[in-house]
Amino acid sequence: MASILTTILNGVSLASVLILISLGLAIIFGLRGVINLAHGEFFMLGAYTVWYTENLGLPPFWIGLVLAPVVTGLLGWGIERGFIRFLYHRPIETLLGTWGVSIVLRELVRIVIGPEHRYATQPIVGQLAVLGFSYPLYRIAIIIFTAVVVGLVGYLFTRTDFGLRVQATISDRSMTEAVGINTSGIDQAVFVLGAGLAGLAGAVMSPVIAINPNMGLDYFALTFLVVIIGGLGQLFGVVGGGHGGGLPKRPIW
Amino acid sequence: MEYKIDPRLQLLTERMQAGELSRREFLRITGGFIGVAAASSLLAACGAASQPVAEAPASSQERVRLGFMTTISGIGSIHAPPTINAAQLAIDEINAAGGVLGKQVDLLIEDNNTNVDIAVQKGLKLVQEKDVAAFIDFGFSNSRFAVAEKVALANKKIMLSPIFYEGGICNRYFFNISALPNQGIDPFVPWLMENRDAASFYGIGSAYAWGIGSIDAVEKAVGANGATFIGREEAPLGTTDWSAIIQRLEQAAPDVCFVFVAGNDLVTFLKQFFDFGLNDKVQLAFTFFQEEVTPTIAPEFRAGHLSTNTYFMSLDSPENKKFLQDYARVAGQDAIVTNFGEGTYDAIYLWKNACEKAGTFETEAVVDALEDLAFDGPQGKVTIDPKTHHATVRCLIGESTEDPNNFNIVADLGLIPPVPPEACDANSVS
Repeated sequence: MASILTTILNGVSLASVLILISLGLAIIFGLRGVINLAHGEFFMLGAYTVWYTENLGLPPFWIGLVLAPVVTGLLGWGIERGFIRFLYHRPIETLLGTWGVSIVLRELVRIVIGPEHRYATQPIVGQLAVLGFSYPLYRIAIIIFTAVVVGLVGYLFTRTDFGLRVQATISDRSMTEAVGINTSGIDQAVFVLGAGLAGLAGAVMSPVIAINPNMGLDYFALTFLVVIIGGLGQLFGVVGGGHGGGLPKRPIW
Repeated sequence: MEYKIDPRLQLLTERMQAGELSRREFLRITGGFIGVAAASSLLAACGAASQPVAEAPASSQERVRLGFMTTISGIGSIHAPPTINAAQLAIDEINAAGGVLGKQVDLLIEDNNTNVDIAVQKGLKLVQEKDVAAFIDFGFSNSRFAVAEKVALANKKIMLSPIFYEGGICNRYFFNISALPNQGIDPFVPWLMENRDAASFYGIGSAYAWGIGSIDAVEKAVGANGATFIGREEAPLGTTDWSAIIQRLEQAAPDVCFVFVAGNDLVTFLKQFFDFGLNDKVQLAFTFFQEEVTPTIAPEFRAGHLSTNTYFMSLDSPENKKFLQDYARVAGQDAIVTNFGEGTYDAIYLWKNACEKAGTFETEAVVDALEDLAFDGPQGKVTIDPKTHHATVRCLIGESTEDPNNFNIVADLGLIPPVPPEACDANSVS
């Protein structure tokens, strides 16, 4: 019994990480049809932000957790304004373009910060023990955190004014513009949100893995699968895709 | 600089002249090739700028070059800094004392990215372009095999490897200055049974030559000593989630779990191992739980892990004290050194002594001189076996403490001669 529960929790915790990363990818694709191949690098930069703030002597982890989505969000905004917006009408070129961005970001990190792997301190240690069953607290925290983030993103897109504007932009861009909604602003906001979510995922994962310039690549293939399994453009398909990709992976391998 | 035609380009030219390729096809292929070559040389130039290369401008008459490849980036990056510091220390000492055969030594450092292809590429660059007299290769088992074959053997250059491995490389130009399984794992297993009441064993490793070969060695040693080998797990390099493996380990509940997870993956594995609370249930045993790994682990989990090794910083001997003092001058007061660094230091001195014994830098003569050569390194006497070209090294068992640099040496099993898993007559392969 306990082992079945552990297996399930292992699957769910991996799925949670994948969901957290994939969410941003799915959001950006959903709005503009851009498959952001630099998404893994935002994830990587989020993890580096945690490491960096810790090295500055700031209270470890928590400040990094807050800063990571801000840093990657701002960077995402810069890249959207300076580069990707010129490619919106050429979807195939965005693949090549964002792939280029990913290489540049990765190599910049390698040159500026160095190729060595880095490690961040884990903020929550220990296990939750109930009736002879125990499971790491930090993994449980990841599962809960992901559920909260998915809930918030869902709320944002379905229950708020902003969400309504995004939906309107997706369904009919020129009509939306005609009624006075700044669709370019929506594009930017969504790109920032997507990049920020990737950074947040990187920050959350930073204590349990080795932080290195290539870490985005390790995860990107999986996230891509998640988004495809869930259905491109289906926001909540990501949740299903994450579990579809994360759960079976555990017992099989 | 002499202009060299890439052999691949030459082959194409020949094929075109023989009429196998049309001119159009030739242009298409070479065009792409030149594009790729230009891009890669550009990247290589960027990469080179970030690497420390101790190369002084002087005519090659008075200087000799020693190549050194190490894992500056990639999965082995955690191990590289001590190897670079130790190599620098050895070169500084040698040059200050007048060099080798009157020539100052230039150390050419290359990053092998802990990657097979890049290691071979960089190795070829060192022996073909830079014309090094010999080279040290600090790489993982996957790349070591390729480099020994395609760089050392193919170009007849001496390769010294200062990192323990599972055995299996046997050629005239390959010298191993570190432990084989019979110099670590084999005596370690009965020691664990006797001193730690271990009856059942488990093995977890990275899924490549070293991890698999080392678990094989454990399984064999456990069988030979009449204990139980419960099971083994192999995970690909770059594994980020270990929960399923850890869960199966917990269910298997062995007395001792041998861990052969490579490089940075080890840190990820250990973080998750401790996170799952297995520290109190399973004794971990390693062949490289050492000074650069311990600081990455939270202090409360650092103590009590056992590792066999050829060298620990805490080794109490006058030679080691002097080595650590000199090392601190090069690397800084708090810098750590590992058996990898110590092995690199020994390897450079062995090469120097062999050149002086041979009276030349010429490869064949130096290979002959290396056979049976001994060097009193920080770990003790390191002697090269003339038949296998592997070294007799020390076997220590250390227990980690909360102080990351201080391993408590619980057993000194002395100097053990190398016995490769497969019979080896190095000079028959050249």
